[in-house]
Amino acid sequence: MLSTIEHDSQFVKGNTGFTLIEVLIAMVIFSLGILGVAALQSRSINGNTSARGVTDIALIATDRLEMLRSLPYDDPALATGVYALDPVTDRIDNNYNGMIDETMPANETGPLTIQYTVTTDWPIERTKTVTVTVTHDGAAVQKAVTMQQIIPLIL
Amino acid sequence: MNTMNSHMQNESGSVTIIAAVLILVIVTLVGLSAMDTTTVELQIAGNDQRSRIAFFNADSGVYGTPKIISRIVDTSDPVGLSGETDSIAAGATWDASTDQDIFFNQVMGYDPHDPAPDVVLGQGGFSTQVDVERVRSRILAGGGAEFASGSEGIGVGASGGVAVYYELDSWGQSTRRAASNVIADYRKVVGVPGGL
Repeated sequence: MLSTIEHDSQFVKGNTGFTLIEVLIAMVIFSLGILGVAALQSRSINGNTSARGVTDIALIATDRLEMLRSLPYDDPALATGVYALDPVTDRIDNNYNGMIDETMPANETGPLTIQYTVTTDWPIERTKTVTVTVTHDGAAVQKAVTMQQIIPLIL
Repeated sequence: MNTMNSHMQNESGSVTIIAAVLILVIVTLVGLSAMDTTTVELQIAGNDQRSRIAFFNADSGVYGTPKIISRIVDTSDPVGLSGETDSIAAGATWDASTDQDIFFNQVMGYDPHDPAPDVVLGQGGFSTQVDVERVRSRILAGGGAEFASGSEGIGVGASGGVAVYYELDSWGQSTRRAASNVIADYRKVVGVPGGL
């Protein structure tokens, strides 16, 4: 091997390195490939973020529904009506900054919002139907999940 | 031949390209596996959401249906659902296999249990189907020291009354054919106020 190169160097003088064209072609191929892979990674990250959003809203909706059904039947929070919760008092981290219901430095506002509806005597007398909708208002897409639970009057 | 071979050996640029392509292939494989993980992650998140919705629908069936059974046992009369006279459940209907008289006979134990669903609750666009089976009835032990039934108030006599056991089999649904099944026992103590 070594002897061949040596033999070669003698044959064509000084042609042991890469030529400029070779390096350029390699770089072009390499960067085209890297661009494709970068796009792949970016899609992967977007997908993971989206999956996180879906998981989050499902968890928050479950949590809120379980909280509401643990309340007494005649609790004010379970009076018939539509409730759009204020982000500052809704006990969730609406803007993913690790703080719940903060008023400093600014009033909490964010992509997550909770809304719920209470219907009395529906679908059966002496039951209430609670419908919780959690919305994630993302930059690109809006995701929402709606869960419903019947709460019976237990005498 | 020897000269030719030495010429090929001299093309060190081809080694660079092969190395570049090799690295690209590896990086692409890593990217593809990340994409695959993402796809699975999205499916997990979506399925989790659907299973939760289906579960709450099924759970609702278990919490709602006892109201109908309780009414039938207390009044010893068939009850009406949505659209029927004296309806107590505007948001519930009978399954195609049953009606208010068939259901009444099954709840009271006059007729054998029919495994088809009985009550259908409209839940968020999905129908929750609940099958009610009267399993058994039992005389409850009373809390009274003397055999004077009722002398110390309800449930403190020699006998605590009769309890009828029902098995509720509730099927909740969600999108993409997601389904959840909740089975619960409901005990109705005849003549005693309270409970569901």
